[in-house]
Amino acid sequence: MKNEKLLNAMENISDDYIEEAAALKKRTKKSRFIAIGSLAACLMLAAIIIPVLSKNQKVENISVGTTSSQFIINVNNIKESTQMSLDIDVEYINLLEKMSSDGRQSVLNSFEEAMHISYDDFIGRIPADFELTDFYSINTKEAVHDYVFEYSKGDGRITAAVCGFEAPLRDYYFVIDEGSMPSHINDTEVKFYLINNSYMVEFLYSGAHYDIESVGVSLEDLTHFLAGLLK
Amino acid sequence: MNDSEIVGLYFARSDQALTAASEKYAHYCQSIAMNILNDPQDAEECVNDAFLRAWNSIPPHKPERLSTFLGIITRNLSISKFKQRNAQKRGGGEIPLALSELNECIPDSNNPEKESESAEISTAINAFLETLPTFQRTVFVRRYWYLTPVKEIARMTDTSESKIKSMLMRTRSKLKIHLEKEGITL
Repeated sequence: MKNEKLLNAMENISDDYIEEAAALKKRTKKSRFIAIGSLAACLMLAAIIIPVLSKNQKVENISVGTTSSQFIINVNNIKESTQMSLDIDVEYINLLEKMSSDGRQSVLNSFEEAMHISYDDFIGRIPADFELTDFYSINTKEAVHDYVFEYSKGDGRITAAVCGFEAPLRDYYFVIDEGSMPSHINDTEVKFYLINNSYMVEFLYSGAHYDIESVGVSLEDLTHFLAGLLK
Repeated sequence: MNDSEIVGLYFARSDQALTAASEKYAHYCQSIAMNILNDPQDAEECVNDAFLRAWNSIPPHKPERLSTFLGIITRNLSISKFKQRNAQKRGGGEIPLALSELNECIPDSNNPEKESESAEISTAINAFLETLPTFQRTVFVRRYWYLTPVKEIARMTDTSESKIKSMLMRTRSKLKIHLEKEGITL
């Protein structure tokens, strides 16, 4: 059998990968937390971690040209970030699967109601050279917290998390006590951060909070992505 | 006791080699066998056979990593056992599921003469795995080397089953494209 041949070929994969996978143990809890929750929670978190990053912050002004426009991007370079854990039970719901079944209309309705933009409008804004690879929601016990879109371009990946009422959940938290330098894309104020060679962008658009994380994506490509989204 | 010391005991033909290896890796091998066979008794039998097989092959073999050496033997013996058992219509285990999933990765072949050897496929798979992010690679290897059930991977990674399934689906699609690019037809 062909697939049996593949299964047998897996036998000879590198020992490194076998060991790497052997090390996979059950994680205790999600290390996600609400970056901006209630003020009290926010203060409590800040008191725990207080990563004073402003000393390490360096802003670079970069002129970025996309196919249609030229933008000046202020990249806030974060030299340190602190990961922290906060036990929040969240659940991932695969919406791509739901969208391909009878649940499509309910996903579309919920998305539009929460995000103030239709799903089709959102998807239609993303430049065609980015491929949608995943779409899921992150739900807390109470309700859907975030809608998350994952796009790929070559080996690069962009994860766009959107929340209709506060900042999306994140794996990390950072504080910039002297304020960060914003940029503007199509009249929307956005903040670019460079953390561990990955760009992260946050902004408020049409009443919804956006966190965009990228891995292996150039600043030019990321700007091109955002210019499409922020029409 | 570290691996090289245990291998040293094998080379000295000391019975302590089996005890030391068993203490360190029996649980690991048992979990591999259980994923495949889903039967504690059969799994234990395979693990015992794997340790015996290792005893007979060290020396001349001198494995650098005893864990993967024993793991590979256990995996092979368990798969053989599974096939033997399946022929007797007793079913169970993760192999049929994993096989049907891997079927998606196989490029269509128009030329049967171009069949590649397993080593060539392994090289291509290794190169492919290198391109994957660590988490994605770990999940893939967990599923198709360890044959760990999706539900168990989801539990290990604290992720939903649907997310693991969709991640595996995307990885399989990428592997198919990679194998096609490498000109591998099965």
